[in-house]
Amino acid sequence: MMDPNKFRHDISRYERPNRKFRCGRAAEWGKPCEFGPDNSGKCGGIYECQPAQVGDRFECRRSTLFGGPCDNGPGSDGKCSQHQPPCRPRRSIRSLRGLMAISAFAIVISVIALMLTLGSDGSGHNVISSAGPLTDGHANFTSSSGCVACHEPHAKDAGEWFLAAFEENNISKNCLNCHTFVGEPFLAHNISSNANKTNTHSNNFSCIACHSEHKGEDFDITAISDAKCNTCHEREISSFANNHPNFADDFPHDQRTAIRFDHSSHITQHFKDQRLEDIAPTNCTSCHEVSDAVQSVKPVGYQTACASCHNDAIPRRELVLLRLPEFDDNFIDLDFVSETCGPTLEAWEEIQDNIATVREAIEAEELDMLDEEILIGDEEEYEPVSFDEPAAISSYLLRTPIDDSSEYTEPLQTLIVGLLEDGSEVLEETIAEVVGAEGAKKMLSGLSPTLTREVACAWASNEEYESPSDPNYGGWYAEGVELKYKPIGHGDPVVRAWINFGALSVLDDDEDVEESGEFMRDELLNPKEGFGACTKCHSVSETETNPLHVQWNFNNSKSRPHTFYSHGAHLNILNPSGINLADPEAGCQTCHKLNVQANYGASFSDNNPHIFESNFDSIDKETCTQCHNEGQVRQDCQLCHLYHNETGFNLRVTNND
Amino acid sequence: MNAVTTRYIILWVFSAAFIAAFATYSSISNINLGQPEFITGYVLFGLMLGLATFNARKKLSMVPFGRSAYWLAVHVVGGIAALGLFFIHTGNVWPTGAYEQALAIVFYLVTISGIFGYIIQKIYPKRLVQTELEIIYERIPAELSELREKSESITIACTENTGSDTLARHYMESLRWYFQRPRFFLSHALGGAAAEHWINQSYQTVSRYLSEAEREYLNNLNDLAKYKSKIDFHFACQSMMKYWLLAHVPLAAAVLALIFWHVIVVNVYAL
Repeated sequence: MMDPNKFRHDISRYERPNRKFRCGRAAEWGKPCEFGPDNSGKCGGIYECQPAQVGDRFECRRSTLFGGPCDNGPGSDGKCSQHQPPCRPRRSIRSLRGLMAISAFAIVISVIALMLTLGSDGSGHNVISSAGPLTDGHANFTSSSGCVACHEPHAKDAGEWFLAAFEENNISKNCLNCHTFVGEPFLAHNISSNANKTNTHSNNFSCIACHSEHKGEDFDITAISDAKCNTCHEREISSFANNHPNFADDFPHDQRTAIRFDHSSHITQHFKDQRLEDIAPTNCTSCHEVSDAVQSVKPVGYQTACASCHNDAIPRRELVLLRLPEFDDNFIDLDFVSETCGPTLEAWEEIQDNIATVREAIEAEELDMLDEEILIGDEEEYEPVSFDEPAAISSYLLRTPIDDSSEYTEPLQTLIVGLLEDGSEVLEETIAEVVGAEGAKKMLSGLSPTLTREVACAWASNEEYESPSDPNYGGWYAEGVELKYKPIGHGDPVVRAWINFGALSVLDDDEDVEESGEFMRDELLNPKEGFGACTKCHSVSETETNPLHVQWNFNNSKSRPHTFYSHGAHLNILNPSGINLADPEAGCQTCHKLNVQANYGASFSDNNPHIFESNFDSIDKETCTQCHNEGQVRQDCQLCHLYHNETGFNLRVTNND
Repeated sequence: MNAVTTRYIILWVFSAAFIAAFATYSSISNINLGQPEFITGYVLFGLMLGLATFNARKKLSMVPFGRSAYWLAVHVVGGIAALGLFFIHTGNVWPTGAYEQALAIVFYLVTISGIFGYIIQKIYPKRLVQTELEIIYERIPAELSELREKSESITIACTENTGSDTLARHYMESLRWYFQRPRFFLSHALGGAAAEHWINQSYQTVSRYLSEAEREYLNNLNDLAKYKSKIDFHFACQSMMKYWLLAHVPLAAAVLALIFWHVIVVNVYAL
């Protein structure tokens, strides 16, 4: 133990550790002086004592610790005679600590200030402002505009930039510069919220509530936990197998198919017909393309799957555009017809007869009889060459009743004269009044003005048109009292244009016109006899915006826009019976079981797309839980459900200029 | 259970409850599509400022702001709570942004230096008591100077009285180095016995060449060397207890500066 008296106040130095400086000699492990450095860091130990003036003399005041009063004593000027070179005082630890703390703070601020000025493109600013790398998807799209693509304040000057800290910063609205959704972007699921739980976000979701950026290139920005789904949904689902509700009775066939294809009749009857043995498909994948199967397994297409049996039926269903009907009277100026078209064969023969009669009269000198037989001419009663009704299409276009010749005679004869004068132009103008010029062009595509004029000449002369050749390859042609179109084949654009015209033709203020429209539509869209037999397979649906809509293409079901199923992901997986799901027969039937009792065809008897009875049994939840279960395969919400409604982009997504 | 222990237990319980509450809040808020990082961030910022006031409290010792021991306890427990809150705030151990990574590094260094300081403040005082020597840190240079003078006096006296320079040469070649300044810093700091071994070896090396009269002087020198070893031990331990703050305090200042910019950036870009 150290002698406690050793540091008695009168025999030891008084230590002041809170001073800024300490003795330099002590710092170098020498003997420290008595006084130590002053607050400015100057050595205080140059002189060993500070002599005191007593009367007119100075006395030595050296401490006993340093040997007591010296022999020489102070000089006459009062200065100590014992001096030594000054030391270099050092900072105390406390002072050093404070200095380092201030320096560290200042260095950080300086580095930040320096970074703000680095790089003409603000790259230094970006480094100290960025919360991290963007995900792959966003990194490239923001490369041209930089941070300002999402953060508007980034482009502002220093003052405004700083003031932005005190203003609300709605980042989510900038997401809509690129992203699009069908529906309201900030409503739950982009649709009017049907969530029942009280949630303050339900009517005003921000994108960043779910999507966190700046977490690195590989971060999954779309991953959402099941717990987040349960936040809004009243029925909390702990897992799919545990308490997810059962699928609806008609799942997943709750929407009528775009293509009317009766799997039952085809599989159980037609494909088993011995006559079709060579061309009938053998299994599901004969008609369904599994190589790119995702939500749907698309059919391979008409040419591969259907044409071999159904191709002949299409050209047989022709369109009658115009039909020369029975007219009450003939208002057509025959002289004009004769001038425009030249004499008809009948007229030419009559002229020849008259010339012969005149010659005979001259030779017999009986010219007085010519007044009666030639010069005056025979006043023949008009006898129509046709006794048919006009075509439904022309009646609709001319807005005349189909069964009242007194009403349609004059308009139709006017149209014939128009055809005579202008070829098909007048017809195109008439149709354009209903569907527009573009539509009219498509509908009359390929109609030759010459053919139209020749037909008009014949009909204006009250004669049937005699076609010079048979219409073997399809297209516009005329025969007798009809101007017709023979479909070229599947996908004929003229046929499609006329079918679309028919589907849209009902609405009209005039009841009679609407009635004739309905008549024409029924004729065009008749599944058995309709133009091109299109609606035999292409379903026709009532829609909110149009009277009818023909579904030309196979389309994915949109009745459950927030549900997703990947057929592709399930291929090459064994079902619980050990059958590979990619097996074209037994594999598909694991989920898709044919229901031969279903009245599939009845679903298409009217045009309501929501009434549907599928050829297949509904799929129940147990089909899925065989694999998607606890400890087996994933069963989180996002596996099958999509939050957003039909996402898309406003901007180009490629770098190609 | 003494008052200090009770105080720490209360603070640890309070701190654990604080962290648990924020972890729960953060989790619930996150599930409810909220942004808990803003709240946890500002709380963490406030906590860091609070921890920094401990340094100010030490400088204002004349103002009755409560006992320094209480402040230390709050500072220690609050520092650990800040680490927990940091993880809750960031959601991970290592952020992705360059600036956030710099902030995290400095924050971790502050925390590590604080934990290191706390540990040595718990260990060293007990070991210093075992030396049965008390010495003020600032007086160590003077004490060593005095020991050096004594050792040189003994050596000179030996030479003068015995007429042999064996001990004097040994002093010049070996002991002079030892008495010049504190030695074996690392060994003392880590609790080693390198100094004792060196002293014993030095004693045994020269002892056999000395006469009885010289050996008596050597024994006196050996006593001084052992005494110095204790002072060296004090120097090493007290230095460690003072110098760790040279890392902790400046790093804390740096972290606060980094946090200030972080708060500004978050408010400009994200809020």
